[in-house]
Amino acid sequence: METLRKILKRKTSLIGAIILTVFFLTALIGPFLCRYDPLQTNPKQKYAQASSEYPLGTDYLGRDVLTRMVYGARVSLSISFIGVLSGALIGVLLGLAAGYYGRWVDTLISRLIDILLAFPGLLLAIMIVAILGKGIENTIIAVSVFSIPSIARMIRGVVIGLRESEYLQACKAMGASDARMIFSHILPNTVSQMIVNITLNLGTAILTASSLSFLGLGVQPPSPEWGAMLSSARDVIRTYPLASIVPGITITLVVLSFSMVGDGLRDALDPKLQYRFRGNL
Amino acid sequence: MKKLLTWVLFSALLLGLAGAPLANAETAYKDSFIYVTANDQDTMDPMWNVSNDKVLKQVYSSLLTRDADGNIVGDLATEWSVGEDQVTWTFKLRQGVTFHDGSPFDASSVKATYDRLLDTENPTRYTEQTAGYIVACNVVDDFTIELVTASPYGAFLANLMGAHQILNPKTLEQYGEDFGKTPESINGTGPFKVVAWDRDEQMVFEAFEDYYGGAPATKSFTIMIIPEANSRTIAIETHQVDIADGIGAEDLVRLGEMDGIKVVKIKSIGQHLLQFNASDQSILHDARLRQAVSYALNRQEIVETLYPGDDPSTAPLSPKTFGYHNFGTIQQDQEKAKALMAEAGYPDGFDITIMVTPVYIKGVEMGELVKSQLAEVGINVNLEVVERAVFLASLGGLTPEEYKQTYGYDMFIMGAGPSTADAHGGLHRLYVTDPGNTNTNNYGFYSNAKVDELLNAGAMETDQEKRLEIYKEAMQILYLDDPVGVWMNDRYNAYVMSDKVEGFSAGVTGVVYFNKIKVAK
Amino acid sequence: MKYLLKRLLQLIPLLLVLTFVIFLSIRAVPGDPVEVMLGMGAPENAKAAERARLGLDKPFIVQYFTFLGNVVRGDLGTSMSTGNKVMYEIVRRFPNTLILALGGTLVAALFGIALGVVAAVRQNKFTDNAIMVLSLLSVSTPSFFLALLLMLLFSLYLGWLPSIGMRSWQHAILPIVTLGTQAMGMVARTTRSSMLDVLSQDYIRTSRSRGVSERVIVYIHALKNALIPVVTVLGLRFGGLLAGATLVETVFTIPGLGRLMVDGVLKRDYPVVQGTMLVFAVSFVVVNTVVDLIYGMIDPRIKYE
Repeated sequence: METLRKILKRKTSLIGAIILTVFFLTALIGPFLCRYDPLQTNPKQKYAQASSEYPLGTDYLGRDVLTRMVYGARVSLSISFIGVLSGALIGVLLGLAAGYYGRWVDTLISRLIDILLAFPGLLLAIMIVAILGKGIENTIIAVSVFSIPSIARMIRGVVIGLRESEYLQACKAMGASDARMIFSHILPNTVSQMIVNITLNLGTAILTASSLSFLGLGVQPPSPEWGAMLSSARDVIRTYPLASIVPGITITLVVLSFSMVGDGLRDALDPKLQYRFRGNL
Repeated sequence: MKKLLTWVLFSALLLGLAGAPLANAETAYKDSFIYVTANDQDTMDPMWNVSNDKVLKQVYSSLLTRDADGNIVGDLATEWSVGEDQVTWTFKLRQGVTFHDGSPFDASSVKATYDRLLDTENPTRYTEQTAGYIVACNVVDDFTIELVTASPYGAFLANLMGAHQILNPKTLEQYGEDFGKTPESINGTGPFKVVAWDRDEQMVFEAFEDYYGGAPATKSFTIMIIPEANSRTIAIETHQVDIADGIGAEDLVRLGEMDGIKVVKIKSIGQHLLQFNASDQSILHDARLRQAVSYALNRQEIVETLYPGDDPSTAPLSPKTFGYHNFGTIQQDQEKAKALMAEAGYPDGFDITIMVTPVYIKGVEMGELVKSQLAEVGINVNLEVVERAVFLASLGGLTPEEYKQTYGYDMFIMGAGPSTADAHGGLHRLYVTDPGNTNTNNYGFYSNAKVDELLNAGAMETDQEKRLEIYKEAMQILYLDDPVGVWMNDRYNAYVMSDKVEGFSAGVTGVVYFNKIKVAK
Repeated sequence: MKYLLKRLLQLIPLLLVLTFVIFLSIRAVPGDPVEVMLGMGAPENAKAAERARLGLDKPFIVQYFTFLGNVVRGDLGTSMSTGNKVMYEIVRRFPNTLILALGGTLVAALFGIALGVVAAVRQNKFTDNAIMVLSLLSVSTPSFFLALLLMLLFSLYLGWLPSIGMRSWQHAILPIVTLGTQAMGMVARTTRSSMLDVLSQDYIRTSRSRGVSERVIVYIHALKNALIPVVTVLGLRFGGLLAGATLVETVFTIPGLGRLMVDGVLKRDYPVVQGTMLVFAVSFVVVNTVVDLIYGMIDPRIKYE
């Protein structure tokens, strides 16, 4: 609770939190409140201007942009959450193993992480999607793989730091099992860093997904995904700007909010944290 | 003395002033211009090129060509005739023609070209098709050659304008496999030579002054490759380039209204269609269900939405192709569709998978609209969007069973447009029952005995009037009775250019007559 | 020294595994390069002839070892689609990508550090918050969106700058600014927090009490030490910019390495993909290792065993 108060004290985090709340609510409840079907085409209304009927205009097939943005929130939410959380899980396991068991396990896992990091971000995502195919499931997998290295590295660092601490040595001397050491003593110390890392990765995930869709490799039509909407409307940005500017700005805002909240979390939980930010598209 | 000098000077001044307007009466033209497009050529070897026609015909020539109205005229050949046996064609060759490197053109060039094209031991991309109807190329004398066909062949002359560009024998020998990949290995008889080629960036051309058709209007030009549509639009608007193609329909409207820019539209032989998988592995094997799909669709709506300015198709060929007949656009009739479905045993609808690809302009959007329209009569569409490599792989010579297993599409998007601008090229290879029952050429596994009979007859018939009749009958089946697919729109090629461009023209197959273009300063 | 050698040696198996993974992955992608090259309706015999010519009909392991053998000799193979040597295509394009990445890093460094210092000095005031939000904004905007907007604004509406290709230094401005803007935010934030850290140190307070001018303190003493973590961030960002350049290359039509690779994947041009991914991977690994080493050398707090 103390943490929550600290976060909300900063103005930027507050704004970020508000935007994110709107985002979550939109994703969860929004679809029930929408007038239109996001997939129903209506060619006669192609690229209509903003009006009371279509508050944000329509896209190239006459579908209401506002409705598709709302449904798109759901798509972005699922991709980022499922992707990042599963990646974080794998990352935590790998980082724990590497840090705790050391030696060849560490070398092996560290090199594996290096391999993952050696592939330039977007290009790694492209390769994964190219092998597995397009679509939302494989985009999630790409996002997941993306999120593994930074968490793994971070956890490993923490574990190595704690490994030699007196407290742990004492526990071991008293006969605590490996599992107990990991789950009761080490993990709780990593929670704060993990939360920060995950929050920031969520923002990156949305950027990754939209970049993939922009290149035509991610979520497939007619599913509404913000990056894909931006991509399909970019050819007409001069004549019908709304259709592309709206998704573009929304992506920016949501990713921004994740960063602001992540920042606030970091400051609140541990002001001295420093770690490397990995992906940037 | 002084007075004389004054008079002389005064007269000189007068003459000078008089001369000045004369000098300004001539417009100054640029020495070179820039043309921008989306894709580069894959190779400049005509026997392997699959990208497009745009420049090949400006660098090379063949025996015959089409003029701006689409009529067959002589290019490297001046006269031609067919013998009594209806299979031996004799061509008199043009004299005084040279290749870019200065070597002379004569019968040996033609022989070397056809030897390579017909060499089944070392096949080129187009060898198999060509060897199917040409059996021999004989030199009669230095400027006369004979081409012998397997049987009387009505579309023969049209076919000579496909991959049959005449090549230089020495260059072929010198470069072998690398022929057509670098500027040095590109040696033709056309109005332009290639002086530089930065792959996927630009190709630079220089006028061939000794071109027998007259030196080109502009000394050099560059084709620049810009894959992003927006970037191309901006390039032409900011006058960074002189001519651009591949501009989207919405931008065309806007650009056409701008000062300093004009839009030229040229009807082409191209069409878009959604082809059916007519094999027994697909639910659409039943002709009634294919007809149902056909009647369930509203082509006008699709074309107006996605291709404003195009005409909805009225036949399995575009109006610019020889053999075309106007059957009218098939009107949407949902009741009829449902009746056909009921008759075939699916009164409540059925499921199909349609594959689309963004390789074709607005291909994906077409899929979305079609899905929406078919849903209205109860046909449930699963839309698969694939990229080019997968699209091509699905057409790679599979049997119906293999196709069903790996891909399972019931309909797929396709572009059509014979580069020969003749019905034979546009129909025969694609719709005649494939002997091996694979989809190498007949992408939809279509098979209709009557169509086979008609298309084969049309190929052999040398009376062009009779050919029209034959193809009309065949198309009635292909279009309506036993549909091969749903034809959408007859495409045109749009070119956006600054209004300082003069003499622009392009052919129906997409070739741009660069040698006639000049751009005022 | 021993550590340096150890890291360098560890690079070799890493690269071997990398090449194997790349080699395997690109061939696992559905789609056949010969079919892509020859297009629709290509007869089987032409396809078979091409396959044999390109050596694609040999077993996978043979292809892999042929590839490795060639790599060792500096030959990355021949592009299937253009017929040019892959090395030639890469060498032609790498400088462009490098210019973008270096330029972007420079822009990020100059503006990022400047903004970070200002934000630190005016901590918690309006300027600080504004700069922080700006930094976050720059990191959150999708690069292709930003590129598009910049292109529209500067090339079209204002007509100041060209937007196609890389033919002059003016052509490089917009893409570098786009890339640099993204990294700038990160640099600004790191500079700020690092400066704050340093400014609260004892020796700074000592200098103040001795009457050294505030300016000298900030710009000379503090900044010098604060730059340590910033340098590492810049180093890492450089690697990221090498890859991030891909989207920018697409929008501005710049012939660069990123686009070469993406085109290669789409065309299933195996040698091109193998070659470019290898170059990218090596660059990235080298940059990471160098940064690690520099960090170890200049930050006295870190020890490597």
